[in-house]
Amino acid sequence: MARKEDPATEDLELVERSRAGDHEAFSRLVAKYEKRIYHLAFGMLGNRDDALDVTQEAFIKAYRALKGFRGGGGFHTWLYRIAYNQAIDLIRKEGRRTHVEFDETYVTNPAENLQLSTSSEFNPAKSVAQKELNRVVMDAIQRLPEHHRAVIVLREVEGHSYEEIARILKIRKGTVMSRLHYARQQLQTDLSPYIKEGKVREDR
Amino acid sequence: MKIGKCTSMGRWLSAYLDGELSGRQSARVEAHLASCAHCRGELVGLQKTQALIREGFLATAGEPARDLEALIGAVRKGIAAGVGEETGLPARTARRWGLRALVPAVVAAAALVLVFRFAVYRTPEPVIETLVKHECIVDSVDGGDRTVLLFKTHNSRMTVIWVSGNGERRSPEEV
Repeated sequence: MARKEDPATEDLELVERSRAGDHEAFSRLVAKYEKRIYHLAFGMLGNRDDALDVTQEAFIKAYRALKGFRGGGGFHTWLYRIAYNQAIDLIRKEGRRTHVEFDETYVTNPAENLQLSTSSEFNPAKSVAQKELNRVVMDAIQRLPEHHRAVIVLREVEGHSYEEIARILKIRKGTVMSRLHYARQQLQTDLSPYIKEGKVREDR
Repeated sequence: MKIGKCTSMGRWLSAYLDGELSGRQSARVEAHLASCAHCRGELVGLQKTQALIREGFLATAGEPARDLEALIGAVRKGIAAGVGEETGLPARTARRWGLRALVPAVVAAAALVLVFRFAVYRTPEPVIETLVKHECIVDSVDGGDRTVLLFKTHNSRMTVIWVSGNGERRSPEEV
């Protein structure tokens, strides 16, 4: 029976091959982690262009620094950390505006997306309400301090454990717990008009 | 820890929802929930907020790359070209590298390595002045048998040049 390879071991093998100049191996790492890195960057920066730039630069930076990678916390932890730092650099550099650019091209049929929608029929009013709601959600995330944004994305979107988040952000597990609690409280307050009755408000 | 009073339940509810509590802690939270309608409502509110965040985030973020091959190609070009050279990356990214700011940094770094071939343990004042003049903030960290020189460009990119004790440049690295 074929043994299924442990993802962390697979990563380390790909890192070793990348260090030896195997571009294909590094491409596999890019393909494997691109989405997760993009999500972290998008959550931190709130717009697609910056997030794509940070994703690309994080991989270039990671490749250049592969020699210094010790493998202790796992490749993805290290990669997340690089992307997080890149995003922080960009925020500091641009004295961050917090508005969210909204690219409608990438919003699929919103009525289908909404767990809270009660009707399965496509409804234009609901669609507009959903787009507005998505914008409100992203605006609320962008109003959080950046280290809270990171915790929210890593937990709510990527589903990482507190232990993993603590390793990525180099903070204590208790700090992860506190930041998550604070961030959720803040988001719940900001989004409360939209979660009453468990429905999207359509009268806006 | 104290689980039991509504005022201190918030972070425990949050961790409970994430499955991050021990069996004993979870049991205490559940015991409280069984007798407290307010906290049961809080828990439902938290769950709804979570769902809303995830849905809103994913719908807005969309897919990362229109073409994964394009990203891999751009990363390869970026790696092959190196910082400060023609990268072939999209214009936005090329701007991000801050080419104009990096040129003096790289020149100054090269000058440092050439001039102070032997044991650079402190960055001399004139060099700092030069780098400051060229909008670079400089720091150095003495690592015993080698010194790590830090160059920070005005756009906050940071390049680290490792200089070993005998002045040999070991490997440029980014952090």
